Amino acid sequence: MTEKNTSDFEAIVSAYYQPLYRFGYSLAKNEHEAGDLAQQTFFIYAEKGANLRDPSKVKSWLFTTLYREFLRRRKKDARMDHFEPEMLEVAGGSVEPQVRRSLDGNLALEALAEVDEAYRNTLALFYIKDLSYKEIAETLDVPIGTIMSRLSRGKAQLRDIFKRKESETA
Amino acid sequence: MQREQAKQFLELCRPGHRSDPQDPALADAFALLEKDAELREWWDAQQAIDSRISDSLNSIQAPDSLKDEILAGMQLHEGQSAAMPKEPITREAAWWRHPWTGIAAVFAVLLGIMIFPAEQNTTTSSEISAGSVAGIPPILEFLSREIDGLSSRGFDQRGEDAETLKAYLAGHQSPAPETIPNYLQSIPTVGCVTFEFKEVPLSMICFKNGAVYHLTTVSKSTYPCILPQEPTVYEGPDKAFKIWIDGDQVKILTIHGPKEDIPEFI
Repeated sequence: MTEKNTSDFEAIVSAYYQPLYRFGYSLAKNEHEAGDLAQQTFFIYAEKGANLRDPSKVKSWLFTTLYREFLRRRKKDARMDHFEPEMLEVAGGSVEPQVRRSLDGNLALEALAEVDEAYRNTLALFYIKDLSYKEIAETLDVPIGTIMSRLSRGKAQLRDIFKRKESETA
Repeated sequence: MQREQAKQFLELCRPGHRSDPQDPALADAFALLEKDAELREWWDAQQAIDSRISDSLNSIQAPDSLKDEILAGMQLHEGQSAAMPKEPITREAAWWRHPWTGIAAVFAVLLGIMIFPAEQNTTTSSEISAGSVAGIPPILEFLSREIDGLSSRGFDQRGEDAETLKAYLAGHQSPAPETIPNYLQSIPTVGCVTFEFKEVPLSMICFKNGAVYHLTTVSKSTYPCILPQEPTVYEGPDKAFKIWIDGDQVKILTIHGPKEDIPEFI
């Protein structure tokens, strides 16, 4: 890496390691994996980021890479050797039993964990605020219309849950 | 623009974000906001709670050492890469003079004949061609990954009725299957998802009766890969696929298991 590239890389790390860590935390729900995901994302960027033709896409590219790395790890860690139909039934609407106390009472994360799973990633990216709805669509590889409906429905759920939790802790 | 429609667009704005209201796609919604007091009251309330949610989420801080660990890791990686012995530079004969080039060309021609069989498929369109099991096209690799990620991603819309899901897809500018294969018509659905592959919209409806079937629909005119003209079966490591043309659409059926488990459609 040249001196300029090193400087650019450090600037990108400085700008995005916090939001990437937050997104990783919302996905993995523990700080160790969140940090690992962020680190791996920047490593992949260092290896492949030079291929990015449009520098303005760095942010979306980083979030996309982290998300895909998370999915890749989940697939690798899956206990089942093949896809289980039952997973289709449990994918949504319930608090995952492996949500740990490491959430440390973060109301947004706790509320997010109770939202329908179909909306969680979209909501997490939205409220981290680094990505516009168009960039969220790119990151999650879904049409903008899908993002619009997920935000509309997901935010309705999340706000109700968040307000309830706020009043419980007040 | 009606109030409820405006709300859908306004929901796209991040709380307190300066540039989002400048998005031309949201201009009409913000114009209505200026005139509609009830909408403005709703908007202010949503922004207020959204700000609280966002503040809570953004209060999560990465460990102090993470940034230094990332930079140190990259320096170490760079150092190791620089220390590795470089490959010796050798002069090689021009590639076209290499004796293996001609042999490789012959294999390439033979491979082309195998992938695109001319007229060996004489079976009817409703039967699986014995000779058409081929390498996995990129779109099927993409679908396989997306299916594997369904459990964490979830469905865009859940439902046990295919007609409801078709209506949802049509209402969201996604390709909705004009026809459902007879074999799947009596099987309850679980949900549907939408994707884009090479900027081409796809939709998938999942059916389940013990076994799971994923029916993907894409417009024939924008199909992003080489399209087999006859129904063709592909087999991957843990899934099998069948692609066929159905009018103006291309359908892809994905199952979990070997190609022998793909049902024959009536």
